Amino acid sequence: MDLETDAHMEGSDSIRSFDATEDSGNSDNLDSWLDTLKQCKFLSQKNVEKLCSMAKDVLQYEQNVQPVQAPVTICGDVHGQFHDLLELFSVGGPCPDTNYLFMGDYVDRGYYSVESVSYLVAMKVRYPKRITILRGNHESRQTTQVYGFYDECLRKYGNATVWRMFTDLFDYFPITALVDNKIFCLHGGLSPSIDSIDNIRSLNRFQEVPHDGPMSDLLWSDPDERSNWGVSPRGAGFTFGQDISEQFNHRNNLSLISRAHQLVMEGYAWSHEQQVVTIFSAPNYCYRCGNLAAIMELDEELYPTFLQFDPCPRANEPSVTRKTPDYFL
Amino acid sequence: MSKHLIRQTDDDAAGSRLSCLKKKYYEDKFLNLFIQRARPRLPLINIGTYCRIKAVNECIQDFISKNREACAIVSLGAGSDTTPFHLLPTHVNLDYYEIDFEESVAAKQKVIDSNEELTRIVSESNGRYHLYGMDLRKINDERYNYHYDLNKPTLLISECCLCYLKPQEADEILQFFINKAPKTSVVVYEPLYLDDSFGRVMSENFAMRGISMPTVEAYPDLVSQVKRFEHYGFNKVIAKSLFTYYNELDKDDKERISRLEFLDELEEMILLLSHYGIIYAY
Ligand SMILES: C[S@@+](CC[C@H](N)C(=O)[O-])C[C@H]1O[C@@H](n2cnc3c(N)ncnc32)[C@H](O)[C@@H]1O
Ligand SMILES: [Mn+2]
Repeated sequence: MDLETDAHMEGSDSIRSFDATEDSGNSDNLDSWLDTLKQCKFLSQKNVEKLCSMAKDVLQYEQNVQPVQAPVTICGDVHGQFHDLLELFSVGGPCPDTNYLFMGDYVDRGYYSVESVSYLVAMKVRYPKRITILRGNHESRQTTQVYGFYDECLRKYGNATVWRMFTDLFDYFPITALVDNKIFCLHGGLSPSIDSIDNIRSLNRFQEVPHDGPMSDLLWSDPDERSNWGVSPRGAGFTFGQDISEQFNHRNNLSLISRAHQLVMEGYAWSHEQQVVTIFSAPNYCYRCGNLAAIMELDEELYPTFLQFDPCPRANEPSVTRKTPDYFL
Repeated sequence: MSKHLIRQTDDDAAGSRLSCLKKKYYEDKFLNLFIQRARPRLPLINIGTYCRIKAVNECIQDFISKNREACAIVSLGAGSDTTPFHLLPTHVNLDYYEIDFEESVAAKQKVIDSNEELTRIVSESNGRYHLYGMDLRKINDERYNYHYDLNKPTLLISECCLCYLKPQEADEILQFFINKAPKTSVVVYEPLYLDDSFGRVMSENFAMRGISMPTVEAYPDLVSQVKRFEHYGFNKVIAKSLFTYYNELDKDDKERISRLEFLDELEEMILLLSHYGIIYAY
């Protein structure tokens, strides 16, 4: 049984310090929080509370289909791989010089979900016009209780309050974005209950991700080689074929559906004859998969360039916090 | 690899089974006697564990159904596997041999002795259950001259055991039993493809835990696994990845397990399950 408990511990989280800035919220404050986070130190509970309330003020006015202007760099799943997130910004260029659009799944699976989501939310509040953060299927109360964010919050803060503050905030995240009316961005994929982008505008997104229905589908679905709609082996959302993507793009006058949600070994992958692109930005996902990560730069003409990157060298990560993922022994 | 670390791999196997059982993928009324607590595993681990258990069981059932009159099973590195306690009462012509390190066997014996039902199953088997403690690498050492009555169709099981040994050691062990039993079948479950990008990370992660798998390096893929067993003269060698096995689950069962938990990442599961193989030779 030793192994069981050992493997469960994450080492020095509880001793790693958090910041001591307790003064009121303003951009000085934000910059100091960002500095703290950049060192992979998490914010105090009180500051998370401030941050989340500031973020709500910004996010509540964003739309279900948030308009975004090119040039912009589009990113996929991060999943708590904070050191790799910093690597992403060094590959893509620092924000606000580069505009960013993240397509969800900031938390769960990796060991630094708290730092990753705090950092991205702080960036959002600091540069609201420069960065867009969409909701992924992991930005939900239910999923985070299975896949690690809840446990990580308990470990790092000793109680579930920070988890509650963040998951309450997730309800405010926009669910899709539209770059120059041409490139439709979202975490998962299409939904049989949504024909047009206008259908999405009329959804009430300010809620926990439901088990089924249009909002759930947008965050859970996957493109598939088989045509038409199919049952998803994930237990939520649907699979959709090239015919569905073509219809949707045609009807909505789109050139591309850009989504994340699926591990792709090269970090990005085209499907449905370039009607759909998948972007995945967590290299060596879960410290297990051996994949490259990628981000997609769109220039003013919406021409895409993919930048791939490897996991950032292990040296930055204290080895005590490294537990190995499970296999079948 | 130290004996301690090799023995510990059974905690991992049993822990995965318990997690899988708690999520209702399968049932095993004896497992709880061997392990009481385990941290919950991710859905992809539960799914893979379920496929592994089912796959090995199907090979066993196939073997038994072909040899109803009399047969034997030899489980190499049995750990805390509960299969014999399920099979012995209902298959009265089956002899079951379990081998593991002395310490592991002693622990297993203790569990059996402290439970009425297991004690009864073993005593009612009239000497058909054998639990042998030894380092399998000493299989030809006279000091471990255990009794095997294998003059009947015999199934050798290595569920993640021989992979920790060197290829010559694994070969010596297989050869020992193949020589003893005129009619042998084998089921082997072990990792594959440690040489691709996923597999390299897998080896690295094993290495961080002090685990190495020299046999897997010698038989890196399904093709070489098939050749490996053809060399022993088996007529039929069926080699499948665990992912193929998952794909071939019947539709209802697949739907049932898809409802047990949300699977957040399909590709990761495909990768992981493709890196394990089940080889059934007879
Ligand atoms: C990963 S566990 C698997 C246990 C069981 N077969 C199962 O699938 O649940 C591997 C087992 O093989 C045993 N084992 C490995 N090498 C061995 C050796 N050289 N001699 C005896 N037992 C060995 C270990 O002690 C451990 O119990
Ligand atoms: Mn996702």
